Amino acid sequence: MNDKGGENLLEIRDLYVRFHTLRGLVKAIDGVNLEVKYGEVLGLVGETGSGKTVTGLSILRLLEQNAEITGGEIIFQGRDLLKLPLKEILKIRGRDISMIFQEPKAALNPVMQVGDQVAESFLVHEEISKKEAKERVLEIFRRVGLPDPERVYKSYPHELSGGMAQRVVISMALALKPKLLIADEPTSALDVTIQAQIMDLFRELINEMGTSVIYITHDMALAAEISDRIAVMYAGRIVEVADTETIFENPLHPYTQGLLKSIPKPGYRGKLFSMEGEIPPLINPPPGCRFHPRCPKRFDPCDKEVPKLVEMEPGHKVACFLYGGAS
Amino acid sequence: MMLEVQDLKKYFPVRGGVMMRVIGHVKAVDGVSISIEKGEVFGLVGESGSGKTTLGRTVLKLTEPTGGRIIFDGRDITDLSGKELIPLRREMQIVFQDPYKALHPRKRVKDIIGEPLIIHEGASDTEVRRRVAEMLKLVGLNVEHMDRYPHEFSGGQRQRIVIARALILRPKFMVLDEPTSALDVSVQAKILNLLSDLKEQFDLTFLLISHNLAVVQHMSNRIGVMYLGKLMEAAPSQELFENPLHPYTKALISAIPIPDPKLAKKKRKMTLRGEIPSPLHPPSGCRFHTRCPFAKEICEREEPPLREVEPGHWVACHFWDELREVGVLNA
Repeated sequence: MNDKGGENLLEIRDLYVRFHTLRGLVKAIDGVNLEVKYGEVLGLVGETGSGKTVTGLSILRLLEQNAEITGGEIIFQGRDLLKLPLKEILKIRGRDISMIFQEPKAALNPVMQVGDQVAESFLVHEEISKKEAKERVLEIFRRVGLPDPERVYKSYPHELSGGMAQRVVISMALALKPKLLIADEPTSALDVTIQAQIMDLFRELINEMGTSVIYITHDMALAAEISDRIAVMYAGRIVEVADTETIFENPLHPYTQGLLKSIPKPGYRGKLFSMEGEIPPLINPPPGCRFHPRCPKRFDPCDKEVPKLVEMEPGHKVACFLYGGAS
Repeated sequence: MMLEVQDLKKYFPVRGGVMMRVIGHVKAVDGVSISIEKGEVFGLVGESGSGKTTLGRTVLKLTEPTGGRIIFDGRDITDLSGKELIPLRREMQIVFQDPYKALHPRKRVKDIIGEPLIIHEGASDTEVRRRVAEMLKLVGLNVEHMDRYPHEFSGGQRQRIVIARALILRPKFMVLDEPTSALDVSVQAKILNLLSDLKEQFDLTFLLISHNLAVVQHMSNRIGVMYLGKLMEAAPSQELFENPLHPYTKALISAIPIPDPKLAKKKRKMTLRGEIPSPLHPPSGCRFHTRCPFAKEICEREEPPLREVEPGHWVACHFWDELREVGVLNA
C-alpha cells in the first residue's frame, strides 16, 4: 500500500467517445466519470459493448483511427492526458501507465526474442547499457516465475505457452514500476488453473509495488477476487461504483442486481434469473437511461432523462432515478 | 442407458520430416469409459488438451474412434459407417460453441433450421415453414425471423437458431460443446434456462462439455473430469464439488473465482505449479504427476486405474484414500 492512500491518481471526468463507422456513429462512451486512487485495484466490469475496454484505451490514447474523443478530461497526476502532445504521451506509456491485453501473443513481436522486447522498455526510458538491461530483464523474469529465464530470454513468442507469454507481457508492463496498470481481461484466454497462477502473481506484484490497477473484465467473480472497488458499466456509462463487498451485498442499480443474479452459483440448480431483452446497439442507444428498456423497475423519467451518478453512502454511487438520479 | 462408452480411444497421427511420415500420435482420448442414463445431464470438464471435445465428437461418430466401443440406446454404433449413420443423425445432435461460425452466412433462417427436414424426411416447403415456425417459437424467437439472415441476429439469438436446428428432428441425445462460452453472462443465463426447459419438454439427454465449472455444476446430474485424454474422476455433481477425491479436481474447483467476496476469502486455495503438458508427450504413469503436489515415486511409474471407491464415485489416483484421511482436499 501507499502513503497517498485515499487520494486520486487518475480522474476521468465526463468522457465522451464516438466511433465513425460505415453503419453510423457509435456512441461508445457517454459521459463516464471515474477515479482511481493511489494503490487500489479498481475492477471495471461490464458485458460486450459496455465501453470498459474503450475507457481503458482512451487513457493511453490508444484508440483506433475512427474513434473520436468528443469531450471530457483524463487527469493523471495533475495533467490532462487528452491535451498532452503525443510526444509526452509516449513518455508516459510504459513508464507511468502501462497496459496488458487479453491475447499475450498478439502483444508481442513475433520475430523478436522476447527478452529483447522487454529490454527495450528499459532502453527507451532509461539511460542504461544493453548488458544492464538484460540483467534486469532476467531478474524480472525470475520474479514473475518464468522457469529457466536465460532460455525464455532467447525464445520467440510462438515457442511459449499462453501462460508463459502472459508472464512475459506482465514483466514488460511492470518493468518500469508504473504508477498505473491497465489490465484488460489478462486471463480470459488462459485455462483456469493457469488463470489461478497468473491471478496469484498479480496480487503479489501489485502489493509489492503499490501499483494502482484498473482491472477490466466481464467476469464479476474474477473482479470480486482481485478488486478493492468495482465500477459496473452498461452501454457506455457507469451505472454503479462501490467497494467490492458492497457491490455484492447491497447492489442498488437494477442492472447490477440482474447481472449478479444471472451468474450460476455453487449449490444452486434452479432457474437462473434472466434479464429482459438484449444489450442495445450503440448506434441507436435507447434515450434516457440506456438500461430502461430492460429494467423491471422503470418509471416516468427513465426514457426521457439521463440519470446522474449520485453518492448514496460514502463511496457508493449509483446512476438510477430510483435513488434520485435527477439531482 | 442412453449412451455407454467403453474404453474409448481416439488417436490423431502426427506427421513430420521430409517424407511427412507418421512420427507419433496425439492420444486425445486414451481409454475413457462413461455411461449416461436416459434423461440425464452428464457434464464433462477439463482444460485445453484434455480431450473433452474430441470425446464429444467421437461418441457422435463425427470422427472415427481408434478403439473401444460406443453403445447408443442399446445399439453398438462403433463400426457403423456411411449410409448406416444417416438414421442415427436424427437421434443425436450437437450444439457448438461459436454461433457465429455455426451458421451459413448466406442462408435464411428457414433454410438453416429446415434443412435437416428436407434431407431426412423430404419435407415440402409448406411443411418446412410450418415446422420451422413451431421450432422458432419453442426457442424464443419470432416467426417473422424465418426469412432473415444470421448477421441480423445477436449472439444469443444465433445460439437459439443453432439449438432450433439441432432440435428440429426431435433427437433423443445432444452433445452441447461449450454452448454458452461465447456469450455474455446475462445471455448465458437465458440459453441455459432454455436448454433446461427443452430438456424437460422433449425428454432429452445431454452430454455437456465445458471448461466452465460453474455452468457444468449448475446443469449436470453427474460430472466427469478429464486431463490429457484420461478420465480422472467422475461423481454425482454435488458429491464431486463437496467431496472431490482427485487432487486435480480439487485444484480445478479451487481455481474457479467465487462471485462472493466473503466466501472467496474463506476458500482454501490449491494453486497448481507448472504448465499443462503437451498432449503429444504426456507424462508417464499418472498424467497429472508433474503438477500434483502430492505425487510420489509410484505416480511417475504406474498409471492409477479408475476405480469406483464409493457408489457412483470413481477416481483414478494412487493415494485417494490417504489424501481423504488427512483431509487436504476438503473444501
